Amino acid sequence: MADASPVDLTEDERRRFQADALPLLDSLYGAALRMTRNPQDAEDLVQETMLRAYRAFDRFEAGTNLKAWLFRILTNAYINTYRKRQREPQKVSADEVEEFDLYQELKSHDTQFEATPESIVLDSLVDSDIIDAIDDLPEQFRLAVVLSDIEGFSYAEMAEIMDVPMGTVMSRLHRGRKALQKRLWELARDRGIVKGADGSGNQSSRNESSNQQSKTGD
Amino acid sequence: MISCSQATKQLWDYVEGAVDGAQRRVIEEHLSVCRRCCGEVEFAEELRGFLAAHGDTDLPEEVKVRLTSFLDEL
Repeated sequence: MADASPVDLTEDERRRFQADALPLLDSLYGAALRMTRNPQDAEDLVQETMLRAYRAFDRFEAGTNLKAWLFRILTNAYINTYRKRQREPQKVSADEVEEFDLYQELKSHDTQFEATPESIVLDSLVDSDIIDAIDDLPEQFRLAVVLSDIEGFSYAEMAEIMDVPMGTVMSRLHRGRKALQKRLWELARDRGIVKGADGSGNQSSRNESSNQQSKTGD
Repeated sequence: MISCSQATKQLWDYVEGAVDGAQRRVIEEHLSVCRRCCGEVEFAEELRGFLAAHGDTDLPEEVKVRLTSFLDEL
């Protein structure tokens, strides 16, 4: 699968690429999985990223940020190849995302949670909830949230990686986080951890039965 | 003094350290008198930490083996 022939790297460069890229496989795979939402596609995407990066490595400026450089290649590879291939429609379109503030929501509907309402919600969720909530985000928001809040890139790095102006990065991130908070809040509400605005829990009748849902009468 | 809604718009940037010195002072001035926004800052920090800790999927061992050998063969 590795068609590495047309590469003009010295043996030293080749070894350096391998040594430096190796510790980044974890992050790259994690991000690829959040992008593609499919383990096989994620693995293929990381391989493709490695291949493209290897072929372009002579253009990588030593001493600059290799992780950001690889993520840029990963993002491009995803957008140019995998996104086109994936037929699954977006679960939530970007237009449906509204302003939502989990903190304010908890404050306004449930005064019993004076101290740290966020801890109660966050503690009630498991890793797979977070991952599902991220996966449900519209693509551009998902990418921004993954790059910033999971991978820890700065706005400037994200602008490079996503190839958009910093203002666009900030706006996507802002909206992505709002949408994510909304999703997490809905999960907590559906499980009866917090009360909904209308006093009820479940709107979408997901995995739990309704008799566990609402603690309040309406 | 800025309002809560003006402050809220910038709180995540503040948490990221992505505001400049002048903006930072304006936000901190607001935070010094507003408990609600302080709570929101704590929340933003907490959610951010939570995502960093829980949002990632570990690389499965067998995938790691395949990717490592792919890299070695380049």
